Amino acid sequence: MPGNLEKLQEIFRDLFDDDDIVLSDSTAAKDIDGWDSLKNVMLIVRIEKAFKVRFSTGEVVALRNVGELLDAIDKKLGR
Amino acid sequence: MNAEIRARIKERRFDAALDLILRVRPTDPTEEIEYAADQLGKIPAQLVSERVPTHKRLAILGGATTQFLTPQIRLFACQRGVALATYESDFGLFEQEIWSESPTLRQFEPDVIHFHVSSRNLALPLFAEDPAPLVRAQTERFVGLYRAAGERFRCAVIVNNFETSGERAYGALDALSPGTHNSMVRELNSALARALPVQCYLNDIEQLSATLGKGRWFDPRLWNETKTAVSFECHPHYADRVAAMIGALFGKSKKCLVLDLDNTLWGGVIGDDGIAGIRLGAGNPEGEAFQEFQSYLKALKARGILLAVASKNELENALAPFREHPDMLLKESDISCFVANWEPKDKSLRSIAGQLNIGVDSLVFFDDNPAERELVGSSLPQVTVIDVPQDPSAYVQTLDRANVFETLAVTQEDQLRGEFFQQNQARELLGAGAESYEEFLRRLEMRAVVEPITAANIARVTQLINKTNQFNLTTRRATEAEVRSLLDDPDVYTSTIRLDDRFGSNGLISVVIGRVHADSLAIENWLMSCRVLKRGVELLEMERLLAYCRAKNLRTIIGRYLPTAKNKLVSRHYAELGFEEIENDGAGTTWRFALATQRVPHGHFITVQ
Repeated sequence: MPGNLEKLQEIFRDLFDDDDIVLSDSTAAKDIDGWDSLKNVMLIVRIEKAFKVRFSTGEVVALRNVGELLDAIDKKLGR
Repeated sequence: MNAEIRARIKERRFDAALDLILRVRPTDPTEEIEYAADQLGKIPAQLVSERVPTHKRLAILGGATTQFLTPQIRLFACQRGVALATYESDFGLFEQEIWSESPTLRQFEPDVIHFHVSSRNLALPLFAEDPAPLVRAQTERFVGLYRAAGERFRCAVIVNNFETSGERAYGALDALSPGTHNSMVRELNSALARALPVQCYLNDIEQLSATLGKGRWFDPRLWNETKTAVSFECHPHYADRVAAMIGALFGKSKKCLVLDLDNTLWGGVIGDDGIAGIRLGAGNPEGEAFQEFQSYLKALKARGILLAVASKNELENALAPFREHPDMLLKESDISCFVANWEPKDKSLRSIAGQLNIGVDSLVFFDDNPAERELVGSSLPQVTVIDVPQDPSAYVQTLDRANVFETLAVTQEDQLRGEFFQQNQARELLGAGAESYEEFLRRLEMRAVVEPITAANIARVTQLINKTNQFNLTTRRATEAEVRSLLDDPDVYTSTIRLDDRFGSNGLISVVIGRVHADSLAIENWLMSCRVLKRGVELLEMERLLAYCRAKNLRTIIGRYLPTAKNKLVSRHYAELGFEEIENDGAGTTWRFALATQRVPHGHFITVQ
C-alpha cells in the first residue's frame, strides 16, 4: 500500500505530465511548472476522487504547500 | 493508458502515441481524457495533418471558462476526422467579440464559432411576476447575437440552449408557474429553437444535462472558484457532442449502420431456434429489449441512415424473421443491403460499401459478437465499431451515445434514401435485360428539373457539398451561410438537378457552381451523388453550362480537378466532356473548354421539365 505522499505524487506526475516530480512537505506551487489556479482546481478534483474526500469552497486556496495538503487530507480521513 | 501515452511521447513515437490518443472515448475515466486531450497538443502538427486530412478553425466564445473544454473538443473532433485550430475568447466576452467585431477573431478567420454559454449567463431571477418580457429580451439578445456572428464572420455557428436547474425554490410549483426560473428557461429554449438563424446549429445542453444528471452536470464549487459551468466529469460528453456537430458540418457523419442478426436484432439463433424459438417482442423481457432496439433503428432509417445486414447465416434463414415474424418491426424493405453468407465479416462490409456506393469509412458496425468486432476493427480500422454491451436492454443507449449519426438538417432526400437503393436494384434488373446501355438509359424514362440554388433547396445543396466525396471535382466544402452568399452574386453561376425516372425520384443529386472572370467561367464546385452515376447527368449539366456561356458571351470554361483519396472516379471527368488539360501544378489539374472550337462528345437521355 503506497502512503499518501506517494499517492499524491502519482497524481501530480500525471496531471503535470512530469515523471520526475518528487514531492516533499515543503513543495509549493512555485516549485511545480504549470501549477496555476486552473490546474489547481483539476488537482483538487483528482485528489478528492483518489482519496474519497471533499474540500469546501475556498479551503484549498488557503493551503500553502504539500505538507499542509497532506495534513488536510489526513484530517478529512479522520486520522 | 496515461503512462503508455507518456512513454510513447518520451520515446518520440508520436504515431503510436496518436493511435492511443485517438482511441480514448468520452466514457473513459476523466483523467485519461484530460490527459489525452492535452497530449494531442504535443503531437507534431505535420503528423496530425497527415492522419487527419480536414483542417478547420474553431473559435470558442465563452460565457464561462473554456480552457478545460477546448482541448477535449479538439480531441473528439480529431477522432471524427477534423483537425481543429482553436481560438478562445477571454472569459465572459462572448458578446463583445461579436458586437465589437474583434480584430483578433476576424484575423483568426473561423470556420465555426461555438458559443459556450449556459443559464448562468442569463441573469434571470429565481421568480418573476411578469416573465414574458424577460424571456423575450433574452431571446432577442441571443438570437441577435447568433445571427450577427454568422453574418459578420461568414461561418457556421454552434450554440447551446439553456439548462434547467436541479434545484426548485418553488418546489412543486416549479413546472406549474410560468414565473419560475426553470419555466422561463424552458420558454426561452422553445423560443430560441423557433427563431434560430439559418447558419446556426443547436447543441441541446438541456437534454444532455438531464441525460447525465443535473446533479452531476453543475458543480457549484467549480463555478464559484473558476467560473466553470460544466463539471469536469461532464466535459467529455459535452465536447463529444460539439465535435459530432462539427464533424457533421464537414461531412464526417456516418451514413450506414451494418447490423448483425442473431442476438443483435433478436434473441437466439434463427438457424437453430427457428421462427418460433427466437426471442422478440412482448411477453419476454429480452424480446422486448430487442424490439425496442428495432424501433430505434427504424427511427434512424426514417431520418436517412442506411441500414444494412451482415450476418453469418443461410440467406433463407436470415430473411425468415423479416418476412414471417409478427413482432419484427424492421422489414426487408428497411434494409438497403442484405448480406447473409459464411464469409468473414470484413469482406461482407466491403461488399456492402461497394453495393451502396459509399466509403468503408461511412460504415458503423453493430454486432454482439466480440470476435467479429475485433476482426472488423483490426482489418477495417476506418469502420466505426460500436462496443456492444452484453445486455440488449442497453443497446439503444450505447448506440445513441456514440453520436455517430449526427445530422444538422433532415432533408426530403434523407427520408427517401433507403428507397433510392431499393429502386436502384430494380434499375439494375432493368439493366440486365436491356440490349445496350443506351437502351437501358432510354427505358429509364429520366426526367430532370434543372434550377439554380434557391432558398428552398439550399439545405440539400449544402448537405451534398459537404458529404459528397467520390464524384466531387474540387471537394470544396461550404457552410450554408457561404452557399447563401452566392445567391445574389451576379457573377456566380449555380445549377442543381433533381432527377426522376420510372422507378421513382432520386431527389436533388447534382450541383455545379461557377464564377465569371472576364470572358470565362471558372467551375468552383462540380459534384454529384453517386447513386446516379453513369446516367448522363453530367452531360446535362454541361449542356446548361454551354447555354449560360453562350447567353453571356463567355468564350471558355475552366475546370479544376483536385485529387483526394476518394475522388479518383472523376480524374478524367473534364477529359470525357471534351476539355483539354492546360496545367498540372502538383495540387491538381486545370482544364479548358473553348466554346468556339470544342464539342461535347455525345448526348444524354434525360427530358428536362
